[in-house]
Amino acid sequence: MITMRRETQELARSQLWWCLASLIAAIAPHVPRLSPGITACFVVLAGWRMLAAWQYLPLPDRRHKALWWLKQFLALAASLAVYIAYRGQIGRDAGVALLATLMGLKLIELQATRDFYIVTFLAYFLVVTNFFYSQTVFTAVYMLGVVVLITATLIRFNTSPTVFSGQACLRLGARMVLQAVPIMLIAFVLYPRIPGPLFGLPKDAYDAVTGLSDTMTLGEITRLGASDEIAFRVDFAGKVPRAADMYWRGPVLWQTDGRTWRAGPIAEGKAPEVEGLEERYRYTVLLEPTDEHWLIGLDAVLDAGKVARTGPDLSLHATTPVRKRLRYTLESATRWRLMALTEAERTAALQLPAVAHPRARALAAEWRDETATPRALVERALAFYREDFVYTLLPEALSGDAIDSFLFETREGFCEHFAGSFVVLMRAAGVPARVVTGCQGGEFNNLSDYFMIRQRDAHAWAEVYLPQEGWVRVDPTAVVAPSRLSLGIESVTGARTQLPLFEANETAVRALRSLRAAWDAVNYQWSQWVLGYTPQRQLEFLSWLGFVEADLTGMTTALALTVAAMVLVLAWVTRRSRTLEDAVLRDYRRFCARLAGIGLPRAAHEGPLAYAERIGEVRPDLTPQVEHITRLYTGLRYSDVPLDRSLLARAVSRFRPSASRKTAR
Amino acid sequence: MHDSLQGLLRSLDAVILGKPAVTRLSVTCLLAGGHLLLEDLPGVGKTTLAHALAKLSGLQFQRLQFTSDMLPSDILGVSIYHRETNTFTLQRGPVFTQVLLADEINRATPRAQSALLEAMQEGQVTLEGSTHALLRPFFVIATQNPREQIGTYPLPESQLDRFLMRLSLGYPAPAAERQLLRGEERRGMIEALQPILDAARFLELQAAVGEVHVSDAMLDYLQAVLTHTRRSADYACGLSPRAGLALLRATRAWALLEGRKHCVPEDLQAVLPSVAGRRLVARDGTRTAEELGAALVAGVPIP
Repeated sequence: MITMRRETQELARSQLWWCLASLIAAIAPHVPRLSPGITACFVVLAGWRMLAAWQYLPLPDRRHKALWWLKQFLALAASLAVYIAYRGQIGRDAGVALLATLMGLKLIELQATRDFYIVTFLAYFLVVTNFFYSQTVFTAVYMLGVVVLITATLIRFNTSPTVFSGQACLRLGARMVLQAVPIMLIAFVLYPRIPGPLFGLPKDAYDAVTGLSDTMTLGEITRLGASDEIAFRVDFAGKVPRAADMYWRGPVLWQTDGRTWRAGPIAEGKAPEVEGLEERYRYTVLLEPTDEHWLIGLDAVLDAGKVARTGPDLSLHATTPVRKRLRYTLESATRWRLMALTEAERTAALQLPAVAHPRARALAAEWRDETATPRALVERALAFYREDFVYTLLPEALSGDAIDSFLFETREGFCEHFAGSFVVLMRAAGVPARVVTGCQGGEFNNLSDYFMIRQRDAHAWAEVYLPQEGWVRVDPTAVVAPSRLSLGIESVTGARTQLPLFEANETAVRALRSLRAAWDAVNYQWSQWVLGYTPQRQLEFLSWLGFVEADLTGMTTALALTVAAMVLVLAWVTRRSRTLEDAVLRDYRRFCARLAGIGLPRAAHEGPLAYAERIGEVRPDLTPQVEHITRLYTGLRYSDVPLDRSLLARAVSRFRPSASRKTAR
Repeated sequence: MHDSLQGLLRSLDAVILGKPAVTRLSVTCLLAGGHLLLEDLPGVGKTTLAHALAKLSGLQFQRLQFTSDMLPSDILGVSIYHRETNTFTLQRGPVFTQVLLADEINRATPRAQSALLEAMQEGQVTLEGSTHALLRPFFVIATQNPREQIGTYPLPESQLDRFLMRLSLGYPAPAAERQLLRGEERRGMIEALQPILDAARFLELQAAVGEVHVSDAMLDYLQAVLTHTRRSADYACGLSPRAGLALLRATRAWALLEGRKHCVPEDLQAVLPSVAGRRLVARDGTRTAEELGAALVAGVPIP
């Protein structure tokens, strides 16, 4: 009787551990996002509950009036603290913080089975809140694991630890989650999609996006130079352009104050007539969130469809900021002609800050006098860059007038230095010019046949307007560091030095790279098929399945019917449980027959527990096996706890008692 | 929940020495919401058991000694006239309690007996035309002396059916008796006992009994037992459906006490003698209830 008492205490405690474990697993990804005070509050409360279980410390229930009042006070204080910490914002962050704090408080009043259920079900809800922040494959897989853990916790509440080990709980939990997968898939495919974020997240949901911006300050793209993050991915429908032709056009910058470049008002205008020469390419872009209005496309985009508005400088503008991965299809030509140049554009393309860059202006004036045509002027300038400029991502700091300092003193820099100073020189010489930012190059992913363009592929180049040719792309960086274009940015930055361990080992580098490509392929498919499953794609997919005119009612009906059909199938399967039970009895009889074979038959009226006890007295060496089988048998035959029948069959098959008692002890 | 039950049993065993089976069955009986009949000689601890049970369960306790001149109003209560206010007020009888120890119930006349037994069955009493609900939970622990038959009114079979279990304590084993003789006085021990449950917790536990799972296989076994008593040549009459229900309730309570959420055949076997034994009438009429119960257990194979 005393042992039984201990066992039940362990049960209550083990329930608590399970409950805590699932809660912590669900809340852990939030920790970096929560304010430290909130995390500390949760840790203290969870610690109190653990200590209470360990040392039998009092909990704030009605028997401890003072503690009970403390709890009420804490609840108020915590809510107030959340309100203050998030400055009264009612949004995603504050909501999650409040939930975390209240979960901590709920822990300290965790005593009755009802509380266990509440906390466990709230843990499921916590899982959902994680998707407010991250929808990556990793998050999904981790959360699936957490769901298994929570389900196992529920199983633990409803089973006795003598019948069901913790491992068995987890296994059954995983099985139940797996069994739910078909319904999950059906609901995913058929549940009517809502455009945009599901929960109508407030503005603070988008504060963590990085990437190119529509301004360029000398020295800024360096930061991106080191970033391995994917900026966007491109899947070409047919032919693929050469690597050197892969200029990905982003915002076009017209205005300069001598150091910083901006788009200016020109971009607001209408689309010009652009003429595509040679090959046309059709491709799909999957753009990572930028929280900016502009989109990116292969230079130059001929047909943007309804995806975006094309500006007079061929930049693409979406109607809303890109706050989640955006997928769109474009058509481009890498050789193109754009002759249009309005008077406003000419003024903007010649704008320079009033008194800046005296030396650059002097040099430009000198060139203008020496050369006959703008084309020759461009060549002259490029020759100047070719002389003794150095491409580096870690240039010396520029002092005083940034452009003059770069052109005549440091003479080292990267794309934005070259593009910026080149445009200044051209404008000073009277040639309309502008800076184009975007990306250059891309890494091909063999596994899924698409290009990955990372943040460090960011690039800037210049465009000049020549009388007969129109706008012409000039990339001074290509003159200084030709390999930057043909081999990608890694060839000039030495990205490998980031991995000193592998420095000497070519194969390892290659393996690492293909591993990274594989991982990105997974991510890409995830975005394509899971995150990118928009209302539009849902309709496409359903019409591919044959439901051409799928509407809300149709989808809901289909969903209900499919789930109902599945339930019916399940009901039919469980209808056969009677025969399954007979199988359980057959296994048990087999077990009894084996024992009868060694002279220990079961009396007809002997219950399984009594029989096991009797065997244990005579043959203690068999006790573990006999007890295990008996536990499984009684669990299967007499309890309503779901158990795997094959466990019994397997255990009985393995059970081969020897006739004589082992002399081990 | 299980903790407090085990605590209850341990404390009970500290008072009633060397009778773990009986104390366990008595707690089972109360958990199942049944009334208990203790049949034994005077002085073996019937009252001590009843008193300790009530005290540990945190329930109100009343003791009522039955005599042959007892009237129903001595049990149920009586209306008293107040001259000053010219009204009647109800003086509630000892039955308005949670645990009622009905000592030597077979000494009272059938009229007084049936007043109590009706209260046991209905959970309420009717006095002067108005109905009064009894407290909840409400248990009767009745005792009777099987030996002295002179001047007693033995309970008829139908009345016996109101009790879920019949138990006898019997003489203590020598070791337990030695301990009893050396130890402190029982009355003082009961005074010092701390309640482990209260009425609300007790009702919760009773509700939990109803949630103990009974599988189809278990019902098969129960039905096999019932059928056996009806078909076997050993018994004059078999168990009634009401007895079957009583058995099931007791089985569930026993399983709960064992810390399980489902019943196994052993649970039924454990309660079978005390629940069914006295309801069976052996054809030859010689065997005791316990022997009958044991024979019944041995006679039915577990399906």
